[in-house]
Amino acid sequence: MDFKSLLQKIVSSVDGAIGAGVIGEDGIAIDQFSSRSDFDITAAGAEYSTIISNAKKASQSFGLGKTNEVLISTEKATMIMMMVGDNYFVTLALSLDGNLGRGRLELKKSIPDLEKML
Amino acid sequence: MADAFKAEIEDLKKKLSQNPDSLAFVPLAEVYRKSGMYKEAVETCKAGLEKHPAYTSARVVLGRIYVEQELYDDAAEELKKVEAVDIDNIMVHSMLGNIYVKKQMFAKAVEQFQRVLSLNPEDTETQEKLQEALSAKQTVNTAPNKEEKPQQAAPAEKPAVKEEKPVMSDLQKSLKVAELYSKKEEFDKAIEIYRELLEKDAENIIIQQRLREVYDFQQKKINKQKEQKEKRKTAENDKITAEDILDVMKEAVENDLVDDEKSEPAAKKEEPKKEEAKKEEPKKEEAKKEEVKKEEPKKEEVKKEEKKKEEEKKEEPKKEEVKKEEPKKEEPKKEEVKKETVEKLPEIADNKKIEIGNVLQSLSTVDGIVGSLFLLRDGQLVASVLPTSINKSEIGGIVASIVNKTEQSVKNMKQGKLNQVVIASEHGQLLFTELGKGVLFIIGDENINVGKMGLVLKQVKEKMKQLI
Repeated sequence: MDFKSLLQKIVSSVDGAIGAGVIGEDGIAIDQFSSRSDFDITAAGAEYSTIISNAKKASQSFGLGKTNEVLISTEKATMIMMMVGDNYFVTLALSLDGNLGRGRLELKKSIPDLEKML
Repeated sequence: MADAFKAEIEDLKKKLSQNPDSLAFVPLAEVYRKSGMYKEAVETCKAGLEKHPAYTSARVVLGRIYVEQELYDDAAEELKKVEAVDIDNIMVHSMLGNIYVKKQMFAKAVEQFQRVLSLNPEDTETQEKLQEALSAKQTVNTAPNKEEKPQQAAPAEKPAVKEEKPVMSDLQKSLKVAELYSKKEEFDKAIEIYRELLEKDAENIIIQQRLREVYDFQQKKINKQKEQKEKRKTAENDKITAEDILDVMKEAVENDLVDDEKSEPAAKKEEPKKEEAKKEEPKKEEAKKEEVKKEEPKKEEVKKEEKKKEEEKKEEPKKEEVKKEEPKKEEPKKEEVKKETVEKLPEIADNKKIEIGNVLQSLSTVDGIVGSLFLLRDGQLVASVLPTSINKSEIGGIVASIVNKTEQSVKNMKQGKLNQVVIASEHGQLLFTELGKGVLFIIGDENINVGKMGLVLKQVKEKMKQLI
């Protein structure tokens, strides 16, 4: 299975999922799948990576060790980011009424496969 | 090769045409590069950089495209622009090192590889490159006048001459101004400049670091001022005024009278002693009066000092007004910004701070919550319930910096207002949520009950909203 197929599988199995992507910590997306044309994870890659790097710094400042997951809720969407290895992360964007629990589960399940692909 | 990327290119082109201001030009340029379409890659990158000149990642991509085309001078020019604003960018130093090796400018290559290793000492590949560059440098040194002369044709040397007299960029100027403000302890102005710079380039580690430092300095200054105020207060409370002495004397006389009434029989036996005491009393009273007289001038001096301070305080705004009227090149804009910042951040009364502290205490009932704090956007700590292992004086700046940067990223992603962020790590979780003009920040350990925390958090937010 390639990146896009895996991301597509995640998006299609979670209610309210808008899009998913695999992004490097340098902000450049490896691949993405979006169910909406107005939601572009590739273009927002740099912002996602900034959030992840801030989260890592915050965890370090409080002595909490390695960051595994970041969850952001905004006025328009909820975003889940999970680390894949040290330098990549997978992200899933959900609408406000999206199934957050299922989203987290599907992302967690995808990590071993993504690690093999990277 | 281009065919393999055709679909991806079309997809990215479509996205970019739908939203020409987006950052999709970077992945598009990368795909063009991978497919060997260098001309298109350069054009896409340059067009994007015209709209986003501070987007350093795009410059790195452009530098990489030039390197693959063996246009080393052009590549170095782009990468140096990144280096000027992001001195700790490993990738840039590594790429510059490789470019200088290609140009046989080994001294400069050594310098760049050394920088990479200072940032990542375990990089074995760069260690090898450094060794090679060092030995090449020595070989060149044995042949005089060869060192630092690039192999390319003479015109390529021109930019190198220019580089020797670097012109300060706008970013460098702004950084300098912010640094000066910071040195002058005008932290609000420095913070405002750094925030403006981060709006243009949210990824810039140098600016992020400096902003954090300014927040730290500001917090330390606030703490110092608080300590000094408290010291002054305790000193004033410790001063014995004439009224205090009179009160003590009155109490003593009253107590004596009560004692006399209670112990009348015994008093008869002690009458001689009492008479002696009575004789002593006028003497004592005289001594006390003298003490009071001595204290009174001191009290007057304190009052005078207080009056002076009050007058000075009244005059300060006038002085500031005069300062504002003075014509200065850059200051008027910054002064306006400062005003706005001050208006945005409300003063929270001490009694409310205590109430907020009590509300935070209720969060401690949730299993796994080790601490919580409420702070204003400038990093000013309003109330906190924290373990002793966490340094209160530093935490405000750190948290404010994290919150501001995350908010900025969400804003750039056009996802509306940031509501809540949860960071789950190996040994615990961090949660922050926006509350009016401030931020509620919660620290939990690995055993935190996330469900219960959510419920308590809702109640806490409601209570806090009423208080703020």
